[in-house]
Amino acid sequence: MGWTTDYSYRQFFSQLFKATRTSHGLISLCGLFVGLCYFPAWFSYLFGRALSGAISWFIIVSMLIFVGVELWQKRKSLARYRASEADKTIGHALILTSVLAYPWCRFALWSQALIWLTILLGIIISTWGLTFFQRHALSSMFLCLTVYPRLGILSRATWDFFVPTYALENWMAQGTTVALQGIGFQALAEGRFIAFPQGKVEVGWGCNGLDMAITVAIAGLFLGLIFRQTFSEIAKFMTIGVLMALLANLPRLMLVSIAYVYWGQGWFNFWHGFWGGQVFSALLFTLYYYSVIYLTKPAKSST
Amino acid sequence: MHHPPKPGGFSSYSFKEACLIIGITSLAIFILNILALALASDANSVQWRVNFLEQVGNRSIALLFGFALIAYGFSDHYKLRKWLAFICLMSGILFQMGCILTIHDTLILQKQAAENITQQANQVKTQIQKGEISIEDSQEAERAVRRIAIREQELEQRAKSDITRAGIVSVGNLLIPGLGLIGLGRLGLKTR
Repeated sequence: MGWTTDYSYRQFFSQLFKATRTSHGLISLCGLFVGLCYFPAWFSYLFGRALSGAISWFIIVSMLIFVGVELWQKRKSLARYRASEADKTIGHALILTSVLAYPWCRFALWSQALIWLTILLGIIISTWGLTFFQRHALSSMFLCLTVYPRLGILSRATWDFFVPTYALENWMAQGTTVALQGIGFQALAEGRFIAFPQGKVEVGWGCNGLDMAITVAIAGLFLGLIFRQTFSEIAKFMTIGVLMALLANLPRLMLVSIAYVYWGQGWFNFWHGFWGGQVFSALLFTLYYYSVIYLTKPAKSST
Repeated sequence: MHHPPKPGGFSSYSFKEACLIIGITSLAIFILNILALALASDANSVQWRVNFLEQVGNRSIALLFGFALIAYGFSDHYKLRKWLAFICLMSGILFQMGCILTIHDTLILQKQAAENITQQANQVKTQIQKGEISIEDSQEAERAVRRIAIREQELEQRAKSDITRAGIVSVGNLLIPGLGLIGLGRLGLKTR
C-alpha cells in the first residue's frame, strides 16, 4: 500500500483542509478544538485517579471502546445517514453557542464537561441527524457518560437526591452489628456508628458499599453486552451484582471495625486502605464471576 | 393541508387568529415579567442570579405555549415561521446554558451556607470555652461542645441537601422546557 507516516500525515492535513471548505466541517472543527482544550484536564484527572486506585478510568475506557467498536462496525450504514436541514441548523447552533460560552466555563471540570457534551451532541446531530440516538441508544448513552471523569460524584449526587441522608450508612451499621452480635461481639448500632465497649467506628461514605455496587453493576452490564445476553439477563446480572456487593460489604465492615477496635491502627490502615480494598474487590469479583457463570450455564444448555 | 379541529363553531381562520392572540399574550406576559425581574438587576449577586433563573424556569411554560401558538398562528407565513423557529431554537439553547450558571451558583450557595453554619457553631463553642455562657460543670461544658459539633454536622448536611434539591428543580425547569423549545424550533425549521 505504500503506507508511510509521511503519507498519512499529508493525508491527515489534506483531509483537515478539505473539512474547512464546508461550513459544517468548519463548525465541527471549532467544536473539536474546544474538545482538544478540555482534553488535558479530563485526561489528567482520570490518570491521577487511576494512579490512586480508583476504578472509574476502567469504566470510561470500556465505554469508549464499546462506542468505538459499534461505530466502526456500523460505519457503512453511518455513512448513509443524512442530517436534515433542521438538524444541521440545530447542531450548528448548539456547537457555536457552546464554543462561544467555553471561555467563561473554564472554572471547573463539570462545566467544561457540559460544554463538551453539548458540542458532541451538536456534532452528532448535524452530521447524522437525530435518528442516530434512536438507532444507537446505548452507544449514545455511553458516549454522554464519558464526558465527565468524576463518575463517583455523579452517582453520589443522584443517590443523595433520592435517599435520605446517611440511610445506607445506617443500614450498613445495623447489618454489621447484627452479624457481629451473631459471632459473639458486644456491638451496638448508634446511627451510622458501630459502638463497641472499647470504642466507636463510623461508617463513612466511602465504606457504605455503593461505589462497589455500581462498579459491579457496570461490570455485569459489560459482561452481558460482550456475551450478547438478552436485556432481562443483563438486568439479572446487574441486580445480583448490586446485592452481592452490598452483602459482601458487611463482612468487610466487620473486619475493618474489629481491626480498628481490637487489633490497632496498623491493621486498620491495612484493611481500610489500598491493599485491603484490593483483596476485597478481588474476592468479590471472583465470587461474582463464578455466580454469573453458574447462572448462564443452564440457559446455554437448554438452548 | 392539515386541518385543525374546530371547537365551538370557530372557523379554521378564526381559530388560528385566536391561537395568535393567546400566544402573543402569554409571550408578552413572559417578557414583561422577565423585564421587571431583570430591571432590578444585581447580576453580581449569586442570590439574585439564582432567584432570577428560578423565576425564568418557573415561567418557561408560558414561553413554550406562547411560541407554539404563535408558530401555529403564523403557519402560513413561511418567512415569519422560520424566524420564529430560529428564535425558539436559540432561546432553548440559552436555557441550556442557563443550567450551567444555575449549577455554578447552587454550588457557591452550598459553600456559603456551610461556612455560615460553621462560623456560628464556632462562635458558640468559643463562648462556652471562655465561660461567657455560664455552665458550671466543666464536664457539662465539654459535653455541650461535643453536642454542638454533632448538631453542626447535621445542620450542614440538611442545608446542603435543601439547596441541592432547589438547584436540581430549577435546573430541571430550565433544561426540560429548553429541550421543548429546541424541539419546537426543529418542527418549525423542518416543515415546509
